[in-house]
Amino acid sequence: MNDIHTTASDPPTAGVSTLDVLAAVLVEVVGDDLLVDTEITLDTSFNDDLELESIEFVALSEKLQVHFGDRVDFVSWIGDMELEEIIGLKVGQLVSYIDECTR
Amino acid sequence: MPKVRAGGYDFFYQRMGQGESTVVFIHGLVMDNLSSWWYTVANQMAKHADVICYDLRGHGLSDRPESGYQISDAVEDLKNILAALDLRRPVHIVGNSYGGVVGLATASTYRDLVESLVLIEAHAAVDEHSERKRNQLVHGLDLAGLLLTSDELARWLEDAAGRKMNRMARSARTLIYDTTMVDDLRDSRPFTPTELKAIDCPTLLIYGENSDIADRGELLVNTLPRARLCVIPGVDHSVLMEATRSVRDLITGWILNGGPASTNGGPGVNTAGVQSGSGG
Repeated sequence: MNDIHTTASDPPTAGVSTLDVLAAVLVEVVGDDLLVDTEITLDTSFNDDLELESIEFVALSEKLQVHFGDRVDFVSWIGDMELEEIIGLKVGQLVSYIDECTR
Repeated sequence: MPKVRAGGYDFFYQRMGQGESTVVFIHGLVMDNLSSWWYTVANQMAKHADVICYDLRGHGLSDRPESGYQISDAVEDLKNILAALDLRRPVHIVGNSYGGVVGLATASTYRDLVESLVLIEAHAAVDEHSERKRNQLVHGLDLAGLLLTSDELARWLEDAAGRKMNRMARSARTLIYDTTMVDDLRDSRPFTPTELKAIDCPTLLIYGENSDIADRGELLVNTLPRARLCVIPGVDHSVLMEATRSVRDLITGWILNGGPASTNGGPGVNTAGVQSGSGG
């Protein structure tokens, strides 16, 4: 993950570590080829930028659920969204949600 | 990732929520997988019920054997999955398109497994004139036509560009050309009217007003003993994607608010913007 730089001035919950976890899980789900062309930032969209298949997004959510355990509740979070909102999700929204739950 | 071993194959599934009812969602053919339910209805339903979605044989992240794609194979797969998950009570089956056919066939074969059915745009073929051979052909071509020419497929392909399109198209091609799926579906036996009349579980039928198979909804509501038909105005076969909220409200109302019980002669489903009628 060359694109992630942490400095001493970053607050501990700035989302960097969650982004790291998310990027690692993404590679688990999709494979290394994802990172060759695409920089993953908080502004990266799962659908438009990463071109994640919907079944891959399901697998990603599930792995994150396992990683973070009961502190996060993706069923409720996704359950409150309409189809268009899920399709439009950006990495930063997922990171923020996880950070809010695990703070 | 959770996979359940059933009948010698691994099936990708998601189980969420808890509640007094268990709801099993079944997706459609080829370009579809459990995510179409996960994105639209399953997570919402999981706030109130025990929810299971799974990828059919050959689809999504489930195993893709070379053969075994008759409707009866899908029924056995579902029975085996429910057993492997230790389900001890009848379930509500909610099926979209071909998933609806699988639900109907499951209720026909293993009536005790099914509490109620919700069939959305199900392509049920019925052997009405005892011309079995001809109808088998119609049945098969119908399903093959569904996967090769439907607007839904065209739209998916159009919307999906680059990496996603490549992967999805490759997956669809191998399913169609490297397995016996199309031949198996063509060989699958249509339902007889007698079989349909014996499916006495409460059934909610949801069809699009402009669907090219809207007549199947009419046929089923007039044949199944405890069925109710809801027609959603202004949409075609892609009801789940184009009228997601209406479909979700109908399914939620059906399962959580005693919908199945009301097919014993209660009032029609009362949902704004949805035409309804009851048969039986």
